[in-house]
Amino acid sequence: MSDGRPKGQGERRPGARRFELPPELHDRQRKAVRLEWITIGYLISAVILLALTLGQSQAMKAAWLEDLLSLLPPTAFLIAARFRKRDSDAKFPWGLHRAVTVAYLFAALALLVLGVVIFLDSAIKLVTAEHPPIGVIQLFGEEIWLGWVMIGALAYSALPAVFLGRAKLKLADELHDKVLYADAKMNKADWMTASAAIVGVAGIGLGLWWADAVAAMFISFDIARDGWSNVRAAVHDLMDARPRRHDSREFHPIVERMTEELAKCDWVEDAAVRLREEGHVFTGEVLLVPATEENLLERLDDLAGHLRSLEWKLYDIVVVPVREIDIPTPDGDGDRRRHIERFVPVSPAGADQADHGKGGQRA
Amino acid sequence: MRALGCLALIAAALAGGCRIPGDPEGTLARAEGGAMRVGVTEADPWVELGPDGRPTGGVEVELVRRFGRDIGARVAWVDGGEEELVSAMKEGSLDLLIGGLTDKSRWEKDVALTRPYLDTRSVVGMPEGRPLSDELDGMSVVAELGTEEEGLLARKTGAEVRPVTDLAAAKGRAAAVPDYLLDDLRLRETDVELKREKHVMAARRGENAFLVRLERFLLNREQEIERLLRREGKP
Repeated sequence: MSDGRPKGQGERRPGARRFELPPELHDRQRKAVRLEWITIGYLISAVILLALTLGQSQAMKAAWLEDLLSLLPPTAFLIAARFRKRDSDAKFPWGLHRAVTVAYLFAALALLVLGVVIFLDSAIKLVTAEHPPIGVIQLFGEEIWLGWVMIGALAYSALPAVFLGRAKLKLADELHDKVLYADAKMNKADWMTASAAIVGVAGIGLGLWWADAVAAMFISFDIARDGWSNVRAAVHDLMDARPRRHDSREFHPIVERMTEELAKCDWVEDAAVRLREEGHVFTGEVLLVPATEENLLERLDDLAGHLRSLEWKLYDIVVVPVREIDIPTPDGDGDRRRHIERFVPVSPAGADQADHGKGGQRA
Repeated sequence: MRALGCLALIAAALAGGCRIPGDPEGTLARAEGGAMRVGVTEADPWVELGPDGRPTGGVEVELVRRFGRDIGARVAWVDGGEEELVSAMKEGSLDLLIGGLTDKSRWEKDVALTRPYLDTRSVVGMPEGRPLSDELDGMSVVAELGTEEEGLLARKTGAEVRPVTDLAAAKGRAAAVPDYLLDDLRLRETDVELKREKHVMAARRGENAFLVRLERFLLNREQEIERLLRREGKP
């Protein structure tokens, strides 16, 4: 990747960068913002349409509540998109990248609350043997069973969500964006509950009063599980847990990557990397015990610049020389905190490669 | 997968000659050519009961009789208080319930209300020769004792409320009355509207075939219902 400093901004600390996304991802981000605006506009139309056809059906109420709640993730995404790029200042010394994490927490909570509410609602309906009444409606002088109208409205609210969700999932992958990821899940929840409600209304049409509640229960379980894992991930991020991939399935490989690079430096006796997630980007420290103090400042600067060039998500890292290292380091793939298990000190054979690494920023 | 299951269900229903929507408990099928059990509770002019508890008249009683003829059902009347009848309906002992219910009914969660079949209003009427002003401050206005109109008149206007036990006494005096009584009392309507009511009947929840059949019967007969109301609604 090219030098991270925008022209005319003067020299910055090699470990810090001025902008969040690399240039090649800018139009992805713009596309995501556009998608979220489309989502909001379309959700509002669905909310109005469903409100008009709501009637006395509980199934429809759940679908309506769902559409209302799914306004939260895209709104959070758009608000965060506005704040996160702001420069750090005296009040927010680390900048506002965490706006994204806060948005992620809200989006994930919306998902979880939705799942739990629908689950409880359907369980209560089943236990109390709720028989939903659906009568007729007069449309253009014709009397139509309201159920058909509901099915139409639900299909309207379900179909575009399928495509929006897919498009967002792809973008979330490319942008490593957790909010977008949670929102894509929300769109999936959207069309799933809507189709459950369609099955429910059709079931009511056939005189099966329980069809609706049973269908909703299965789907709410799935939504709540998605919500739970996302809330967990968001809280972990806020607690400065070790960075994970945007879908939380595994740790982000960057810490190992940096540790490997450090191992190649012959002037480093011992080192440890500690990163946290701030929204899209990672910040953190590299602690190292230098073998020599000769040209130390230059070496540290070079190392910081080189490490940051490994991955666009590395936004601000500080490389600090210390006498002794006392922070835990990752032990490969486990979650467990294990104290001081680091790479084996450098073999002299690795010195050439280390030189190549050091020179990277200066070239 | 789900969509397929749904389609399969509908296809099966159509092939099996089911009607959509259907009744989980088969109310409509039982009433057609059989008996329809109707709960009645006194509510003049909608339901009027004789001393033996059998309906003697009323707009809704007449409508239910006509509906019964329409679907070929014999009507079995059951009289009682609203709560008693609602509880019976929830247990499936009644098919239909009438008694001057409106769409604001407190029983909305316990029964299935039909779409409103008629709108009525309560207004202040003025006798011939009096100006139709909506300024009622200090004016003496008649209202039936112990009715909602009596309270609304006192709360919403500055009129001096004169309660009467029989609205026939309102002839020739300014009065707060339902709009369908204006003609009989020789009153002209002012702009002072005290309340609006949308009248409904109640069926058992979930018996959607029956509900839809009843609603189709009630819709599109405003003129017939207005005629009934003029006949039944007397002060």
